[in-house]
Amino acid sequence: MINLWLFYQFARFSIVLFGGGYMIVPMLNHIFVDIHPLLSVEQFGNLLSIAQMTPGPISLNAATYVGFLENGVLGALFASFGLVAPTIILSLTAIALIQRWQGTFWMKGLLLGTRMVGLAMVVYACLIFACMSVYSEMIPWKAIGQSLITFKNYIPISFQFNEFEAIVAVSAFALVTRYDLPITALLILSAIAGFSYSFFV
Amino acid sequence: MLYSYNSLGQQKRVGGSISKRCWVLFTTFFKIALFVVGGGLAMLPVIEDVFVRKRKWLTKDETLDMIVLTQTIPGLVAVNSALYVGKKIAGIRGALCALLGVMLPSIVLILLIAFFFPDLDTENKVLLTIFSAVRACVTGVLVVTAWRLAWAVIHNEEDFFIISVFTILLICGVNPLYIIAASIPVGCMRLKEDEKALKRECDE
Repeated sequence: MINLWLFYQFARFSIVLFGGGYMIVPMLNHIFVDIHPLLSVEQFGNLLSIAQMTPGPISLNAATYVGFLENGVLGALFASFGLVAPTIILSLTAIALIQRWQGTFWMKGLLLGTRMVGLAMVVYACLIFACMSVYSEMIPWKAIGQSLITFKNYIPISFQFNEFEAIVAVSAFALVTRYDLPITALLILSAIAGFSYSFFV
Repeated sequence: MLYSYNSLGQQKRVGGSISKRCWVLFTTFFKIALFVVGGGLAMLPVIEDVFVRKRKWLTKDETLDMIVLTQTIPGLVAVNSALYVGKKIAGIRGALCALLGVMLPSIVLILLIAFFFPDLDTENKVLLTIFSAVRACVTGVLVVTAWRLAWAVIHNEEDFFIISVFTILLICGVNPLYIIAASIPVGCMRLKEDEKALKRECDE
């Protein structure tokens, strides 16, 4: 019974989850700590940091972890497949619909327009990832603008430029453009670089 | 022989038998889920590198469609992308293989951690530095991917202008769904112009 309940809860999360897994955190907190007190606040904090530290989608990690805490391996499987089930149906339906209306004027126009947004999203994602590694936080555009107008420094101290990460980013860029290395190899190389650098900090 | 259709309705041939393609999908998405930290669009460079450039199973247009679809449909971005790529390359079976590949590493890793290291030290400086370095690597590679994909969309100055406006709107924190809605009339207008230009050329 608890397996089905977990499946249902995570399927519900999945339906309201738009673009990016961080939105699941307040919802998880609401359901599993406040309404059905199955997790203590401490356990919840532990869950979050483990979900963030492990590779893979954050919400999937969180679902597996909550499921495991509730009902062992079986609970983990039910929770994670609950998170995925609505997406499978919606996604496959959307792909089928696109193929169905493929030749029509409206579908061609829609795809032409949305492709531009797709490219804009990739450019924006570059910026986000830069702000998670090369810079210590999001670039404070407003503060920079204020500083330019008034000639005073409004930029917060927490906004920093990390030299090591910048070197890794630039060398990854150079290695891909110059030697066309496979990207998984580059990711492993950068992990090794990070591991060796951590002894010097 | 299996054909896949690109978004303009043109037929193109995909090499290899279905089972081989399913295996490649599974292993590639397994690797993606294992090595890529940060979720969301971090997996895009690997998808572009393996499926568009090396194997030529997807077109650049389809990759851009994938990005929009994954951001519009509720659910995990990684799972959505796996389903889209798998479905395009090897039908439903491919979609399921890619899905399994993307889910397996994170489930197994979390179960291992929950079994053996229930109180993992998450403030560990070594781990933090490693993940920061991997994210920096993703940044550099994502810039290259954006550059490569750009030439599938940008044909003239007008396109460049429209995309810059969309990017600035995203940076300002406008909900992507509104931007996608706004882009549909823009796309239809562009298509109409293109068709008119084509007709004029045919008349001359």
